[in-house]
Amino acid sequence: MSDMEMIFKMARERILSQFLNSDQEKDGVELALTLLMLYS
Amino acid sequence: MSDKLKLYDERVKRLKDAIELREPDRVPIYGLVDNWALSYYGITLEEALKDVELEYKAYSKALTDFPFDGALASRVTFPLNFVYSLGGGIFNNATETIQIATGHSEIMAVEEYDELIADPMKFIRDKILPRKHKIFQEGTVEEKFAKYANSLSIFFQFGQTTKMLAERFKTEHGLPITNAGVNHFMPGDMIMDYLRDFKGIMRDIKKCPDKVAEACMAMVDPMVKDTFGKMRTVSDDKYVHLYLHLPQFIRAKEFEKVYWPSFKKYVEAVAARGVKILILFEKNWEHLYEYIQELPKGSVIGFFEEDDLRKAKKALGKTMCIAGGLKTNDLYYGTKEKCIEVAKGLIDDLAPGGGFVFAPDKVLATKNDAKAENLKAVTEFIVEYGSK
Repeated sequence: MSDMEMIFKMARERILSQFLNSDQEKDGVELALTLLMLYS
Repeated sequence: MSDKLKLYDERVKRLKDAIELREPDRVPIYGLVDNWALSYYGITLEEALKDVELEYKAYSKALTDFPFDGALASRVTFPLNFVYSLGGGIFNNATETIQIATGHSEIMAVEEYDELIADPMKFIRDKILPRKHKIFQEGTVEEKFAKYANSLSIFFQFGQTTKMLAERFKTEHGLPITNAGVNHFMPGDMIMDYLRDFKGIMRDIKKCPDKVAEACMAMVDPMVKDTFGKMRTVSDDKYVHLYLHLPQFIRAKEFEKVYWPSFKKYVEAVAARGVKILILFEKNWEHLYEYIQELPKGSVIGFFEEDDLRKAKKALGKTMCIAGGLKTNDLYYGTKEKCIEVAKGLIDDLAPGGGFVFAPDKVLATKNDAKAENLKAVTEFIVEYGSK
């Protein structure tokens, strides 16, 4: 697993899971963040 | 219903009628306002980024001193604090605007197109983001994660306050902020601005156009998914905003090959779900009208920067609402009388039959993009003269 994959997995488990219930919502936030960081 | 909410609904309808190619009760006026709001109020970008209430005061003044029917944003349009937390970012911090510092975006090699095509988001996440952002470059995975967690908290805070500010504009001012949080570039623009830079993509379009085209198409599905991940419900007051950069630099045949298929696919997918799309067609698009007239009818409000709007309306008026018209050059250097004369001509020629929205020719980003007294005079004139 790449470092970035690991970091995203940790973020999903430790942060996103605290306030998002579905995998679909978590996928959506990860996608939004990926694009935003690309635009940054 | 409060007066402000009634006003809000009137404005939403006015814009909707124009976009759907009907004649509204009067010519709508769109607040294409960005960082100009800060200099108008008298604060710096740095001050705005430190104080949300101050930022709101600045944008409130800029968006309510003039009779706008809708506006681009409730605040500084990009989450710059989030960008800085990643380790710097690609913006030119010496300006009071959100401009990309040129020449720093070639971070993908031409040999990597196949990887981008195979899985664009995985490639961007695993290869591009660590090249771009300092927080992913040094330390253990846990250390990198800790910094990323900090960035995430800034990101979520920005998202929450942006929603709150848009709601305040609705309830306190009756002003629609049409930005639904979906601000995209088309895949061709993304490759130019964020992966290959200008020189890189211009070379690629000549040497490997099939790869560029394929990469653009591969990015459409993730972008549509992102769009509807953010827009859980569709409403008349929230649009997708698109900013198009690459086409001004390429010929029609190159556009047809590499840019158009993915652009058309994305816009069609969004329009099919009933969402309105605000598009900034930067520079001049006259050489591409034969393509963009195929975009979904009654779904797009197109802001044209350098085109002759009368020609644009003739070619595209059965497809999209045409917006723009007053040059920022005139808004800053001209007289009130000149601005009003231009506005009168635009209304006389473009308003009949609907499908026209008045706005400056480009986003008001700096102090020199408009003099307040000119903007006030011309917008107040339009409210009177542009009514049925």
